[in-house]
Formats: sequence, C-alpha cells, structure tokens
Amino acid sequence: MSKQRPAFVRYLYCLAGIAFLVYSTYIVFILVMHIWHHAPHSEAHADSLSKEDRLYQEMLKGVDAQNAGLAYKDIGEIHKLYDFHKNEAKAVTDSKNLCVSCHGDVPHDKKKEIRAFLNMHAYFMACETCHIKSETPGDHRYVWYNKVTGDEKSSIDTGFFLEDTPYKLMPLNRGGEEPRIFDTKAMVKYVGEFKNKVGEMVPAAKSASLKVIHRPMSSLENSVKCNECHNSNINEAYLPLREIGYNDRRMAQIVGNEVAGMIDRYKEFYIPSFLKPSEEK
Amino acid sequence: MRIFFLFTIMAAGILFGTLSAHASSIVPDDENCMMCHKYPGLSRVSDEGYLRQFYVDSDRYAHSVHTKVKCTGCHVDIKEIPHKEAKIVDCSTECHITMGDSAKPFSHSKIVEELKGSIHNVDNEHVNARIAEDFPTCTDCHSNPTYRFITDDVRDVHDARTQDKIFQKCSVCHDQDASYKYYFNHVTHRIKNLSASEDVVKTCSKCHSRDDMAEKHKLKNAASTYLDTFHGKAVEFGMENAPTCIDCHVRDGQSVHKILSHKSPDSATYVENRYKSCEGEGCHANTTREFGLIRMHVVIDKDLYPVEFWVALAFTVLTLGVFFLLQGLMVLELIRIMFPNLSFRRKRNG
Repeated sequence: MSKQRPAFVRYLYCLAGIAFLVYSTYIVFILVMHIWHHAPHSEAHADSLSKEDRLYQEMLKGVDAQNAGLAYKDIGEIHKLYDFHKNEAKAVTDSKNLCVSCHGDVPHDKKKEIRAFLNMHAYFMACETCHIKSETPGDHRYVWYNKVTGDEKSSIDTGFFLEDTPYKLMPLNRGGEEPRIFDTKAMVKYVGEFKNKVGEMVPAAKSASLKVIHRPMSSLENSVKCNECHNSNINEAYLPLREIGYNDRRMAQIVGNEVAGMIDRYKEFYIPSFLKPSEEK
Repeated sequence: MRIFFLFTIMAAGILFGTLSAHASSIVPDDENCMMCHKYPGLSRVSDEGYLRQFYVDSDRYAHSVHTKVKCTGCHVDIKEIPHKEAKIVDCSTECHITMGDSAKPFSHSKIVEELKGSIHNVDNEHVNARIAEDFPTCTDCHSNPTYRFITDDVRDVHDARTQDKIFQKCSVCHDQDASYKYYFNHVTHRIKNLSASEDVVKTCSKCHSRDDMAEKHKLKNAASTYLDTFHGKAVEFGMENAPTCIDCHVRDGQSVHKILSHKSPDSATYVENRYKSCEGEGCHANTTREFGLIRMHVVIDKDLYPVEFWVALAFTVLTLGVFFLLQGLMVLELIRIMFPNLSFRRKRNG
C-alpha cells in the first residue's frame, strides 16, 4: 500500500502536467494565429433570426396567411438604429401565452397608425382578450397571469399605470368545465404536435392545421375595438374594469377624454378608417 | 440660500418618493407625450424586421444631457396628439433652450457643418464609394447619454484630461470668446474623461469593423487591423486612456467631427503630418517623419503587403514549430514517468 500511494500521486501530477501543457499550447496557438484571421468584431453580421422565428417562417411557407405578421420574439432587443433614448430593457417577455409562442411579443404590424398602440396593449393583455370576443356580456371572467411564472391572480395593483408589469390580463370561461377559452390542454397538445411536424407538412395540411388552431378566434372585424373599452360611458365598456381591479381614478383615466377623446380625434380627423382591421389602400 | 433650497427639494423628493415609489419615476411632462410613451410595450417591428421601441424611460431621460429639451424641441414635426409617424430628428434644429453664454437658441448646426467638411460626408472628394446611406448621421455615433459627472468619481479622474483638452471640447459648440472658461472654473473643478477608450473604438467599429462596408468602400477593416496593434491590445486589456482611433485620426485642436482622408494635406494621417500625432501628450517622444511611416492598419495579405506577409508567416512557423515540439517532448516525458516500462515493441518470448 505504502508503495502504491506515491505512484498514485505521481500519476495525478503527470496528468495535471499534461492537461496544463495541452491547455497552454492551445492558448499559444490562439495568440499566434489570431493575426491570420480578421475577426470582424462586428455586431452586424449576426443572423438575427431566432430558432422560434425560423419555425414561424416554416409554418407560413406556402400557406396563404393574410394577417400572419412578423412574429417578433424579443421585446428587449431594440435595434441600435432606433436606440437614441437608450432605454434599459425593462420589457418582460411572455413565455406562457400560447399565441405569443408563435406570434411573438410584438405581434401587430399591419396597421401603421395603431400597431404600436396595439402592441402596447398586448404587453399587458393576452391576445385572447380582444381576439376572442365574448358573445354575451358576462361570459368571461378575468385573471392576471404572470408572464414568467404563470401564476394567476384575480386582481393586481392597478393603482398606477402598468409600466413594466409582469402580469397580463387573460379571459376565462365563467361557467362550464373548461375554464380556458383557447389554450385548453387539447389545444396546447395540438399546437405542440403541429410545431414538431411543421417541417414535413405540405402547405395544404399546414393550412388546415392553422385553421383548426385559429378557429376560436373572432374575425378581425368582430374583434374588440379600442372604443369598446375606452368609452366615455363606463357601463358600456367591454372589459369589467372594476372587476379586474381598477379603482375609480384609474377607470376615469381609461375612459376619460385623454384616451377616449384621442380615439375620437383619430376617428374624426386623422384616419377615419383606423378602427377597420386592414390597411387602407 | 440656494443650497438650503436644494436640500429642501431633495428632502421633499425623498419623502415623496417613499410615499409613492412609482410616482417618483415621472418627470413633469407638460406636452403629455408620456401619456403613451411611458409604456414599455409601445413598440412595433419595422418593415426591415427591427424592433422599434417608442417607450421613453422618463427617469433616465431626466438624468440625460437633453433633459432640458422638451420632446418637441427635437421632434419638431409633432404638433398634436395623436401624431403620425415622426420624421427623423435633424440635430441642427434650433431647439427651445438658449445657450448658457447668450440668449441665442441652441443648435448642433456647427457640428453638422464640421461633419459636412469631413471624410464622413458622402460628397467629400476623397470618398471611394458614394453610397449615401452608409455615411453616418449624428445618431449613428451618439445616443442620449446620462450625465457622467458624478461627485463621487472626482477622485478617480485621470491626470491625462488637462484643462486645455477640456476647453477644446467646450469650443466644439461655444465660441472661443465665450465664458465657458468662467463656467468651468466656477462650476466644476474636474471633469471626468468623457468617453472610455473602448467606447470610442466600439463607436467607430459600428461601421469600420464590417467587412461588407470595407469592401464596398475600398477600405481595410480598420477595427480588426487596429485591434491587432499594440494600441488596440492596450484598449482590449483595459488600459486607461489607451490611444484610440481619435488620438491618431484627429489633429490636435481639431473637432473629432472633422476627420479627413489621409490623402488630404490637412489630415492628421497625411503622410507629412502623421508623426505629429504620434508625438501627443504621454505618447511617443521625439518622433520623426519615418516613425510616422510605420504601417498601422496591416492586413496579412500576400499581394497587398508581401513583406509583412512573409515575416508573419515565418514568425508563426517559428513560434508554433518550436513551441509545439517542446510541449510534445514534455508530454512524452510525463507519459514515460507514468508508465516507465511502456513499449510498443512486441516482447520476445524467452
């Protein structure tokens, strides 16, 4: 035994020595060879498409998808051309919503005049809120879910405006066995399978699957419009503002002249057609 | 008296801040732009696929160098809410603030004029490829920085930024006869070095590190060739005040916006002037014309610079040849220590 121990230590030292020599050779190689390749040190060459973006493009290949949009994934990734105001990336990315998993966090890009406003709302309202309109008032109840953890709350602190909130408003069925109005277990499974298989699918099959996925959506003409919530008559507002946690002061701001009046001004003076879903030709 | 007033405001601010943590992040906004622009989600994807965020972090803006300028001071085309797509801001616009030493409206027009006289203007006679969209505008190099002068930093100021250099900065905007020297002496004792060396290199690298740009404009990849030099390595290893692009390409006393082609006799890099740039403060002493001829942006290219190519090849072979051989021997020796009787020869029976 006593003879074996020094041998074992010797082995260890030798192995450490070999590892050190190989590593130092690697370092010297890098240091010497770096003059031979001109690393561009550039930010401009990076392929900007993420894995999800590529998958989204794959989904739409050959499919006639009129309102598909660009599916921008990362709301913190401001392009440097437009970064004069240097906002520290505060935006919280939604990793829970099924629609966002394909359409991204910045989904609206069609109507020039209001796309930024719509994306601003998409930041704290799930797509389902406007794109799956309840047929009769009171059909839906609402929860605020955490975009990162998925935890649900019946109300959040809405005493101040929702700046960098991690919460998003989500409609649920009030009655019935299935509370989810879109992302039911069956739909989540279906979308998951569709994403896995989309690479091998022919356009017709893709179209059919996309139709199945988007069947619960209201048509764009019948989606919830700005002035259905920002309506000076609070009793007619589509969203039950008080129920989802808004106090009187904040409700007054949402339906007040500043916002509702702005929408009216848009409608009357600037772009009479701005509430219509598609771009005016 | 003023100090007491300031303290009162600060104390009130702290009290107000603790009472309403959210409200403290909002600055007065009498144009009501923040009604919409306070939301981080106010964004869209441009037709080229870039994210444009229209959110303005008012807390940050309040500490930025443009804090006195209202939104419409730069975005002059916006007259009403809601507004249509805003035009690109023209930095030579006269904004609503007045210059400190006169009642004249402030403007960056003097700098815009200087940029027009530089190689960074598409119409400059020495430009190789007249592709207008490749040429920088103000915002390609400048964003809206926050004030960097923090009183706690005063003891860290490096000696290298002398009073002359600071005044040189002031004179970029203000007239020589202006009272900025008065302001300097009375308002601040020290000014922190405005841009760290690596920031300067990073700014120029936005364009000058791109191979596609270099190819289009028949230039070398200036950033990567610079990073191969001792100067570049000093910056990469974090040496304070290491020489950057500006130190060689801007003539002493000139504005950085007026960089000229090396073919222009007024340029800092003109063959007859080059050595003078090397002679700068804290740089090389007693330089001669020949010293200035040492090539800086060297591409290892057999056709372009054959001497450099063969020297580099010889040194690479020599260094790696000697080093690899030595390392190989040492590894073999260690293996021998581990296995003293190891042999690949077949043992003979008997």
